[in-house]
Amino acid sequence: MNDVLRHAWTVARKDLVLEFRTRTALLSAVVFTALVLTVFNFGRDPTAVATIDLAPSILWVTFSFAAMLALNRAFQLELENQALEGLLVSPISRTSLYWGKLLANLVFVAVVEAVGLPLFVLFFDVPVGRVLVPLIGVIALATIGFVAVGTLFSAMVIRTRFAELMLPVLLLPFLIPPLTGAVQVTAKLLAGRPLSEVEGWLKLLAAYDIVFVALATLLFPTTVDE
Amino acid sequence: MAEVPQNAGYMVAAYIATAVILVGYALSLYRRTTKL
Amino acid sequence: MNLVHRGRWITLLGLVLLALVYVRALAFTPVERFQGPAQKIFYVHVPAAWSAMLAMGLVGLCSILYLVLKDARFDRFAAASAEVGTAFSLVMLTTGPIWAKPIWGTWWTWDARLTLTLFLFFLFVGYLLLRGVVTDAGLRARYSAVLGICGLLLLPFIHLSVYFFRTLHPQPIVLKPSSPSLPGSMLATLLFSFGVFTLLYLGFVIQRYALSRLREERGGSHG
Repeated sequence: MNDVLRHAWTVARKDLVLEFRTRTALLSAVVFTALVLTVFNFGRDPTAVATIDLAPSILWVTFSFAAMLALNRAFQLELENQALEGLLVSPISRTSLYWGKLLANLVFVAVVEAVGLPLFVLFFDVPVGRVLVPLIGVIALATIGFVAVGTLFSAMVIRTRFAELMLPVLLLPFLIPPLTGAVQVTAKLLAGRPLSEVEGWLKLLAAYDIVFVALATLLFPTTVDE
Repeated sequence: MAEVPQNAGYMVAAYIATAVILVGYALSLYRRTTKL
Repeated sequence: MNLVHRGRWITLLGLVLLALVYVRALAFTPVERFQGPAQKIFYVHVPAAWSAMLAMGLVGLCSILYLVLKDARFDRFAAASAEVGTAFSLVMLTTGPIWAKPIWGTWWTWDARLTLTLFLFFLFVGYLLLRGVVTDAGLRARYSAVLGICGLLLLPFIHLSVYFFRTLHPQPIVLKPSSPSLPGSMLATLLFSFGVFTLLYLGFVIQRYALSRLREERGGSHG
């Protein structure tokens, strides 16, 4: 078990070092997030619907797009440099490979979200101060769900034609449960409702994460084996 | 007591749509297995 | 090919019996008091749902069996079931709104049934699209199996999400679309229709499976 985690961290670190050295993908994702938030501002009528009602949806649609962007580039690097073959013949197990990729993707998306959330608060004047910790908790739960399935699928689509189109098409149905839960919980939190009211949703989010991380771990080797 | 609603049109539409789809698919299968 | 012919005969039988279902449902089953004739859409919508669910279940099951046993026949069957499932999902997606409009006053509502229908459709289509963009047969089989299993496991979460969502946002329901206990005549029609739709699923899937096998034998890599 220790080996698996260690190797996973090695894989993750390699990816992250690469990302932060070039920074292009990261910057693009951050800029993209800011732009999406801006588009949302102009895509609504502030006199018709109160911002606070739309805010959760805006936040989560934005985060979904950002996650999708992050996932798209996930295996690109490997494929471009034939590095995937190298990884596969190394003593690193498939499980470590998946967990490493998952971790790297999570960090990437987390950075984008860490920039996106303050921007969101700024642009839409949303009071998150009191509920910041639970909000970050929900963001973490939902993001794990997105990225777990997304990492698995991006490993598959990278070897197909129309990869950039296939990933959203395949992934979006799988984003709906975490997305729905995240929006509901965010809405309740922003409205100042007690956490007990969203217990059901939180359990659903957690269950989703557990089931799909386990399933993806189980199925990942199939997608990279020859 | 309320009258029975007059919505037979919907019923007909749905039954026709179902038939079109199922028969259409059957024909598609027939055509594809014949062409080979 | 023997299999193709068998499939065709079953399908033909199914279609003939479907016509009988139509006759029975339209002419020999009583009209529901509060919903009117539109309630009879029930007799094609619900069995179509059953066939679509059956199709999805078998896609999932065959996906697991393929990954475990590596037998290409399971992959071939899964692909056939996915295509047949798409057809039945299409029936659900058309009859659903046509039924919803007179009963609930709106063409679409995000209730459990319609939402699950939509997701089934997306999953089937996604599955078929994935098969379309992967050229290598072995890779295609493995990828499809992964998607099939994930899809199957997604469905309970969709159901739960919709359930929680609706308990928070109750939709105005004018009339209940299906009563828990059906009078004998209606139940008989429904059961008859279930049988016919199952038969149609069988006929379709056998033909589609045979088609894949024929294509592979003729040298194409596309199933």
